[in-house]
Amino acid sequence: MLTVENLTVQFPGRHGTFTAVEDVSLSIAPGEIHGLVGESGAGKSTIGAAIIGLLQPPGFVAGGTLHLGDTDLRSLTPTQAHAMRGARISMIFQDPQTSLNPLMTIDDQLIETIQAHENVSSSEARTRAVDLLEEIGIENAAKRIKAYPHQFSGGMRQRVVIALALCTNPELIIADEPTTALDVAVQSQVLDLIRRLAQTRDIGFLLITHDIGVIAQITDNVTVLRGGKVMETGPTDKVLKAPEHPLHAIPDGCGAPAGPQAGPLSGPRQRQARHCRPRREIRRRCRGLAAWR
Amino acid sequence: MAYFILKRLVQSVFVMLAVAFLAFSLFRFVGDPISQMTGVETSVQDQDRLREELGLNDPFVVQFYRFTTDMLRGDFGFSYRTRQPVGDMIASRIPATLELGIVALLISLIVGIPSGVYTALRPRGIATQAILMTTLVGVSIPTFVIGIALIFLFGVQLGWLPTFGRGGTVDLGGWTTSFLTVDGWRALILPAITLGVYQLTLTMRLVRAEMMEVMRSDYIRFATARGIPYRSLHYRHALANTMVPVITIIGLQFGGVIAFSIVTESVFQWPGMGLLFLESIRFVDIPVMGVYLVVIAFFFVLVNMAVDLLYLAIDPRLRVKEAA
Repeated sequence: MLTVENLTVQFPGRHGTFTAVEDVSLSIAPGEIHGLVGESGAGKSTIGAAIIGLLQPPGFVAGGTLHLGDTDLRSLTPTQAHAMRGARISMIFQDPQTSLNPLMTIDDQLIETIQAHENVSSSEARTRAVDLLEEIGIENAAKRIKAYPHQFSGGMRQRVVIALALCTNPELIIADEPTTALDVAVQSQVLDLIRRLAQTRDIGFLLITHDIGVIAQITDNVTVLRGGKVMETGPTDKVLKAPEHPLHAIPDGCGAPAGPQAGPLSGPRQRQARHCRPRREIRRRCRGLAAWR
Repeated sequence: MAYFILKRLVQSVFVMLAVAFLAFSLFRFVGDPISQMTGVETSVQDQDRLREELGLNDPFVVQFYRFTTDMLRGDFGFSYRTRQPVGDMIASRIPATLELGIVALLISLIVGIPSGVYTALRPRGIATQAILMTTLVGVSIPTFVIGIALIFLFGVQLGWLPTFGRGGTVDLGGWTTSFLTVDGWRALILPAITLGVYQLTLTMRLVRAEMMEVMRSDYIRFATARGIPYRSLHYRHALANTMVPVITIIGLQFGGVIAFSIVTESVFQWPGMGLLFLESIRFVDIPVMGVYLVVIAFFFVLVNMAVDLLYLAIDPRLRVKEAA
């Protein structure tokens, strides 16, 4: 469905051009959750922004192709690109505290989004919005939909954000660190929700994160980035169990797929494995690749 | 909500008391009221009798109490200069100043907000640069120079507009308005522009800065990613969020426009409160100055109350926080 080939994104600056993303290729099938993992500054979010056409100027796509189905995303006019946003590709941002308009009710924001892409009446849009919120796990949605964002808790707000991204039935949702700002318990609820949505609605997710644990928990395939380049890509358990690069090696007992039956250890992976003894230590470390090194 | 309004009311009462105290001190301690009221030929005995009659020998607190309660009853005393009740003098001047201030405010909002939005949305455009340059000039030239330049151009050289006074006014039960005659409107244009220019530049730059900030926020990026039409994105989502801080400044500035229209009023000989205040200073007409102070403070308090209520109307977060 989504095919990215040899994507290169550059930011021209006063001291020459900075290449944020170089020669990145990946593809996402309907219903697939594709993880994009790397340290901060590796170019993860830039790839997401390039796909949805919202690169911060002066950044621009310098090379490669972006296809969503049969549509060549690079050849769209700004108007076409804007019409496609929401309708075919949507996005979930990191912090649910700041990604909802504080001055508008949930109801207003949902209805406006639905009506931006479909010619439906307000009451019809509201009915759909309420159904969607219920599906996503907000109880008493018919009443709560009238509330303002600040009246929801963090986890509920992220559900509302997901509902907003979902209400136009997009084919692809780019989730940029969707759980980083949430506490651990809520995190796994939101991840379960994402997985359920991918399965039931056949939506492709590009899940951008620096958290190997998240990758391990729900992604089907993963692409590991470093310095704007693809280090490794493939099915998640394969990449995590038998890493070709030490950076994203996961110690035993950390994350779901890697178990004690993981293959023989060697080199840097063995060294890291020794650090694995106290489980709390592992948990803390797995939360971020940056802290992990 | 009710609690919030009540809290603001109590605060306002204290502000008004403080200002009344200032006005009273001015009245009581700047010069001797008795010697202001009497001539050189009045005997010392008569002066003392007058002082006793007027209660000027009473303790300070009693006098201040009398002063405030008189004010609350609408008794503002008499002018030293014209021997008229100060209340009437000020009341007859309020319409002129308020109308001038309101038109100046409207000009600044109608021009300032759209141009602020425009310059924020196209930060690199040529028109933006031109607008920013012009307003920079506008903000650096003193008000009276702008007024005189306008008089010179439109009044003297072109002869299109009158250069002083209010023109034709209509009396609506004590409120003289220049809104109902063509002549009145013509006379209003130049002073209103003069008074509004500074406010306009300020509004524009503030809207621009806030709008650029809001456009970078997550919820605008998220709304863009959802394909919300640009018109709604800019005017419904972004502008409403921009207005929260902008309203405070505009409100404060409006108080300022009313209070400091003195310069504009004197350049255009506009018969408002500012001009009255200037004349009072010239003749050391302390009762008028004191009451002017109180009236202006009252305007500030009113405007601030209005701003707070607007906050509540715009921002749902405040409504809940105060109710809880």
